[in-house]
Amino acid sequence: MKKLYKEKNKLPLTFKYIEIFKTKNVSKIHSSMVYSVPSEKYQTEYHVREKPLKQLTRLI
Amino acid sequence: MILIISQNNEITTTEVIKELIAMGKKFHRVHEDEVFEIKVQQKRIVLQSARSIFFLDEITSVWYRRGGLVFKRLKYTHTAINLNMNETQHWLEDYVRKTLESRKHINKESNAHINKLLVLDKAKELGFDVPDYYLAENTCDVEIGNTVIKTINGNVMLEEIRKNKGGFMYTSVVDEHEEGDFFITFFQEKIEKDFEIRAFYLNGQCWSMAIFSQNDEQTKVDFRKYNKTRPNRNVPYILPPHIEGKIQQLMNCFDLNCGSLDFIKKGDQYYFLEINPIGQFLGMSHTCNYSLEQKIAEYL
Repeated sequence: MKKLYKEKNKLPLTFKYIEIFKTKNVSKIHSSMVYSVPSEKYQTEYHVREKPLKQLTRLI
Repeated sequence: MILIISQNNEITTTEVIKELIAMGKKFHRVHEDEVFEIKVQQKRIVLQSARSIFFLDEITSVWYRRGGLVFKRLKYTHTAINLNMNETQHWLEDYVRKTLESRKHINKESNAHINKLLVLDKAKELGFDVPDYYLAENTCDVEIGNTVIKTINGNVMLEEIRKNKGGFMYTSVVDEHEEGDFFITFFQEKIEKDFEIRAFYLNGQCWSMAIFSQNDEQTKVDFRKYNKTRPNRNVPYILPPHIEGKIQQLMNCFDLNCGSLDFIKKGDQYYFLEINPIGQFLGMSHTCNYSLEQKIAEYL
């Protein structure tokens, strides 16, 4: 494993089974793709823009 | 006033806040990058950061979710003065932290990160069925195909492990022998499960959900490898009282009053896997209609 990651010291076996996934390229993200907005009410800068799922109880 | 110690972009915190607002309860949300100064006004301790200010004595309850309280430490040029002042500031910070932890709370920063190995040892001691586990530096004694590996640490994500790529260390079945030694790794007997159970614990009460992950090749070893096109079926589940009793004992041992616990069900047996004190429970709350965020808000 240490050769896989060019490390001098040994790594656990979990590193051999690691699953790689693509991350978003920050330079390609533009304003319409930003999914969160600052919110004073919820005291966060990452309030989710998307509509929440409607709960079953609210549909009945 | 409720103090919420969390992360700026933590979704669950926002969901609990929605409930607090509906209940008319006041709160302060602390972010992970917020640095506090300890001040005194008219004999009352004040905590002040760039975005918030509050008196220590106005905090009636605390929810430790994620992140942590960070304090500004002054540095002094003279080594002896610096050592002396470092200790003075340490005890002030300690006073603030311990005072907050003595208030009504849901989890505490000081014990929110627990050792998986200690938890498993304790679970076994309490009489839970736990799949056999051991640490090893090679695969000489490993039963290939019947053993899984997991991380010893809690964080299974590695950001930017390669360019524009991240890595996730799922629970994996060891499918071949490894030549030579490696760093100490956690091995555990693989259990062919009937289904998985995730339980949410809060102050002696449990809410559980069965996850039918075993029929899907993608999710059968680790349900977190979500199949988005054909999701696992999840249903509300009630654990037997003796298991819920043991959960309470286990949580008490680690001085935790809230957390998520994972189990595997096989036949009549419930195999305990782990506790996650800061785990995500929104999915279960919505799927099973448990309104867990409301339960948290009610308690605070």
